[in-house]
Amino acid sequence: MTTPLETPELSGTVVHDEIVPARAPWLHHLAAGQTLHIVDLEGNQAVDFLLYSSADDSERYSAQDTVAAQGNLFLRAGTVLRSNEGRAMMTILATSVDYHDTIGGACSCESNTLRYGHHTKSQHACVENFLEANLTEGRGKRDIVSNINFFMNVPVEEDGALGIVDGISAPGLTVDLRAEMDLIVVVSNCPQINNPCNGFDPTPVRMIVTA
Amino acid sequence: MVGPFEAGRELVLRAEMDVIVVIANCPHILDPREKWTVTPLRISAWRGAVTSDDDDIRNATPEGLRAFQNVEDYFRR
Repeated sequence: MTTPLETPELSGTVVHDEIVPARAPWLHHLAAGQTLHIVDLEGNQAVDFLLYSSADDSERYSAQDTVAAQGNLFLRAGTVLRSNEGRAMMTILATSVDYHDTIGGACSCESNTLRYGHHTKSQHACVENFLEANLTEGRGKRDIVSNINFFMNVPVEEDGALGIVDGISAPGLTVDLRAEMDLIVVVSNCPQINNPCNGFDPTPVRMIVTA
Repeated sequence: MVGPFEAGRELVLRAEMDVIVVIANCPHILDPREKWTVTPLRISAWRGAVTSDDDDIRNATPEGLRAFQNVEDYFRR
């Protein structure tokens, strides 16, 4: 299907604008001060997301540091995405989704065998996308850490139980992130088809960078 | 619920594959006390049988069972 591609009202100059196809990896370098605007074009599409510092890629996104620093499990407008050094990597400036997840993790061939059975081992998964993107710059499986899942709904119940459920994102919903340092952004446009995180139907997302 | 909690609390972990354990005994990042406080831990390890096929935890869920089966597959190589 064709997707309408009107350029939204964004502050600053657009320096990059790209559609990431369904199921694909994406890697992009951002300079401090640039803003990444992610659009869930068709709705209910999980965007698995990792960050590395350009200056030293052993400094990378840390879910634990981010959650501990804000004292809350969910990523919302105002959340500062922190590194394993505790430094600010990005700030969520605005989002039209209630909250985003950083505890559900990325799917892999291995996790597919656990959750859905060994017949799903050959299906494409986010860890494979992260590897494909990272390997172009010499990073491997050891460099893949706990990630963010933008637009993914992982509610936490009173007793600590997790769900991966439908119904938090819709076509055209967005998240705006400002780079607080020079960064490498690595994305897997999640190919999962066995649970509702992508509405059982992976779709494209749009990445717009402004400066 | 924040500490400090009473002394003597313990945790028992069974290795399901050959593993390397690394521990940093350090003040907790969310400990509200003014002074960073840290006290000793005691760590004991002992030999035991590999988890049996009829183990309750191994068989608690189909997902969990497949995790154990993947370990067997890995160590068979």
